[in-house]
Amino acid sequence: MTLIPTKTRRAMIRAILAAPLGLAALTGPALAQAYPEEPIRLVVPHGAGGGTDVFSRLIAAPTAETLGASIAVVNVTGGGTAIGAQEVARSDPDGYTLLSTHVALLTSSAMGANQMGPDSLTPIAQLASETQVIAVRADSPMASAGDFFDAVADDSRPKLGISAGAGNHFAFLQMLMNVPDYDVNFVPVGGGGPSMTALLGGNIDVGTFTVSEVLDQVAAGEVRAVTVFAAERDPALPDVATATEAGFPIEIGLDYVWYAPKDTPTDRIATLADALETTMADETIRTTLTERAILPNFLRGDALEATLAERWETIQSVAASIR
Amino acid sequence: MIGELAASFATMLAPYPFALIVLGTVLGIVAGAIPGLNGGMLIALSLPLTFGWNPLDAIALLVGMYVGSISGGLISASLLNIPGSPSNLMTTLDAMPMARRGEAARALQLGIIASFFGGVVSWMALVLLAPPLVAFALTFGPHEYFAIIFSALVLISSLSEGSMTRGLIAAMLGVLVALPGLDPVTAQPRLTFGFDRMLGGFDLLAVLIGVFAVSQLLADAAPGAKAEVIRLQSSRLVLSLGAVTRHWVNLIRSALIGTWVGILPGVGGSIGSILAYGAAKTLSKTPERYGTGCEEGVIASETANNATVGGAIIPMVTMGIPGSIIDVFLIAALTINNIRVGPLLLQDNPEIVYGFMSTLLVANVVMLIVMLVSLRGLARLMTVPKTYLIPIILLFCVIGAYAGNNRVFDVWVMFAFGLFGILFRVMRLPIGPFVIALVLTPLAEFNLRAALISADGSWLSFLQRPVSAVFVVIAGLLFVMPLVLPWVRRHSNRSAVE
Amino acid sequence: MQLSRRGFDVAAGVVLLLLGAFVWREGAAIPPSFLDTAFGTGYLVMLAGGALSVLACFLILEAVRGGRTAGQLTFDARLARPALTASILALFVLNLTFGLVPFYPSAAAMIFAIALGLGERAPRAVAIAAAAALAATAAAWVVFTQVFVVLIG
Repeated sequence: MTLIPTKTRRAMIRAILAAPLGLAALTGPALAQAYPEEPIRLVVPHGAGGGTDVFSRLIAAPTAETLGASIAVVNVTGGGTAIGAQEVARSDPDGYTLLSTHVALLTSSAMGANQMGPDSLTPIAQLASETQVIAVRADSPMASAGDFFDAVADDSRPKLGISAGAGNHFAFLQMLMNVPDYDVNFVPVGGGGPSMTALLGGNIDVGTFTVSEVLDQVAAGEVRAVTVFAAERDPALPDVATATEAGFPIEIGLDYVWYAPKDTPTDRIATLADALETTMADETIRTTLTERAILPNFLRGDALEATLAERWETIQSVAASIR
Repeated sequence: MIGELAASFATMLAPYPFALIVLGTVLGIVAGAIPGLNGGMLIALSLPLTFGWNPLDAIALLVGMYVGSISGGLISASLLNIPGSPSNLMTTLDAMPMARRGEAARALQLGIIASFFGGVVSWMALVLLAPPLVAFALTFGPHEYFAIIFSALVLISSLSEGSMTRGLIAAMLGVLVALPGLDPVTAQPRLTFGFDRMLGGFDLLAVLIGVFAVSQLLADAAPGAKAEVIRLQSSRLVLSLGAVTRHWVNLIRSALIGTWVGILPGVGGSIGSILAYGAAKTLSKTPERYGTGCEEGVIASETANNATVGGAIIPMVTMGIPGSIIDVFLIAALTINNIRVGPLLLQDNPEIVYGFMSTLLVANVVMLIVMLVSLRGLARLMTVPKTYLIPIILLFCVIGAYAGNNRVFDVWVMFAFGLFGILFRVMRLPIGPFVIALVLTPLAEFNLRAALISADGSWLSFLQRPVSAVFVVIAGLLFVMPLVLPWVRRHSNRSAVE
Repeated sequence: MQLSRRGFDVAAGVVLLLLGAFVWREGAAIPPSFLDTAFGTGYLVMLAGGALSVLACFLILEAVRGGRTAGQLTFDARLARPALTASILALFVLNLTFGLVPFYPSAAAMIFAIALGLGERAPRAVAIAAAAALAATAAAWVVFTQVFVVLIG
């Protein structure tokens, strides 16, 4: 669906009723190029309305315009992204079925839920990243990365909120990999939203979030961001020291990547990557994203393959460490 | 505050926002009434349209959809025996028998008025009591959630009519159907039998459409089966005031339960309506009438599910915590327009908070009027002969089962549970305990296990936290009461005679 | 065909008993996970399976002892129409699964076939059935693909 610029209000009401019709009209036979000439199905294996879904829809609209074909965002949830990812992996490698996800593809594969693994897909491009932070209630004594690593090593047994096998679980495990004898209580609460609720209500002691998930609560003084796991401080949280600064060189991010089924022709992958590169170069899009604490971080081709291979290795070693 | 609220009403009642509220409410009612479509889908699909809108306009449209969708399910629940969404589950159990007795119009009207009442009570909670309620709700952890759901299970356990064994078997089958998929705590596959597609488990809505709608439609296909056509008699389209007011205790109790459940993050309208229904039944003098087409059941369920809407908005506007799945969409709609929904919302964007308050009330009034007016039109729709009605509704069921997750697997689940529903009828297993166990099991399981993990395995921890202790004790009393009460009554009767 | 209710209940009880035992076995086969320090993954599965088996025994006992619940279950020609309807529906879903015929044309065919199967077959009725099938499919197409953007088939 297209972004609606400031039209007259009456036109907008009409748009509500007619926009999908317009979308259907777009899908007639294309004239000039051979690909794409049909609507593209973008599978989002995360729930509608969540961060990944909204991000995918934000990117899909301008990218569809560049491509000259509509992109229909379809949420296929379940199995910790395994069901949606496998559906894409099994569909025809013709560039008309794509996947938009993040580290969850790797974690669900490492946990064994997605048995086809990340090799069943070809990455098109990485678009943007979010920085991982840990946060505590404002009244908690924990104030730095050092405090956190002390707390997990002593006998206070802090409660860490996770969703088993999901990104936040692996983020904590990546942090704890360097602590030889950690003693924590992993409490299953769910993803970012439920973790925040549990943190505010005192049902967990530490939560791990992306920057955008804690920003408001930090601004309101309800929650304190303890440290960010990035090479540099996050522009949205300039006062929060990185773990690296505290002597713990750990970098954890949530990186949005689009995939196509394995064996999709390279020229089609290139067409898609070109269109996505155009989208990500757009100033309006970049501003929209940075306002949400999502940092544009475009990667394609060999650089992307290498980065993903490295990430997959890390995730696998984390998974191996918990078995 | 009163001044700001009044100003907000003035804004939202201006022709354009008001038109959006009406449009949203009507679309919501339609989506709620069509099996398989629901408010969440409608709002998700409308979300991209609201990019770049004035945020108050977005609120007008989306809150209208929210209120409409949770009310529209009543229509298909009473006329087609299909819960439009899981929150209309309990409504179906009583509204359908009423409709089969020829009281469809009455069930609908009572349900509509109950919905409105629930909406208004939760609105008052939103306006008057939001901050303290949220502070209390936030202290609820897995222990409290489990204790509440556990007491709901006890409340409902007496639901099955007839054989206790059959009721329990039905409930256990409901538990079993809820289990397949990834384990919610350890992410291990369980009862998936090695099939990838089973990793997502059985979709709740697909199962509900199967056991309620498909099995009913297949049974109705038999010659001589009771006519599926339910006639709404125009002469009965007016309900006396007394017919509503005599249910005032039930209305208020169910509205309060619904509001509170709405405030609790992560617990939906279906739990609100199950709890209110259970409470109404337990406190009733004639609990055996529940499930056989009793007005109180329809009222309890519909009041509570609409009350969850206002309840769910409370933690969102005060703390930025979504009280329901639909709240997630509302937050997305606002963040996309650069409004940060968090604890600073009232301070930074008071007009948004007041906008939610005024829109919620306006949408409830619009819902009331639209639903009451459309009864006549519905009456005409219902005169379609069953020969055509059956395949047409089946088509809607298929698309509805598919649309939730875009999985053909879910359509097969719906079909299989349609046959399963027929088997249930043949075996004389009650459907109520089955669906309630199906809805409550995932929440009960997850919270029980999360509670035990966070307390390092201590079962005693349920008694060490005050709120959960209270509910565990209530559940205990509820469990004992049906065993003790007959004895007490007999005893007091005897002493009265003496 | 007639079947004694008692026999049917006993048969159902045996099936449920076996199902419960099977579920118990599946639950017991789930390896423990270090992630669950308290309740364990397989316990609830085993609990549900075990409870079902026990309840199934009660059902069998009731059926064997209870004289009053006895009766007859009748299977006769009246079941032909529900069976036909279910078969047409199954064909429709099969087609959706394999995508042989586009979804909406197949939907119209499904409605037409069931309407004919349930109703009369006079020329007038056939015409009405065809019209109803087309109209309903068109309405569903508008609502789902044009308003709700459900991509199906």
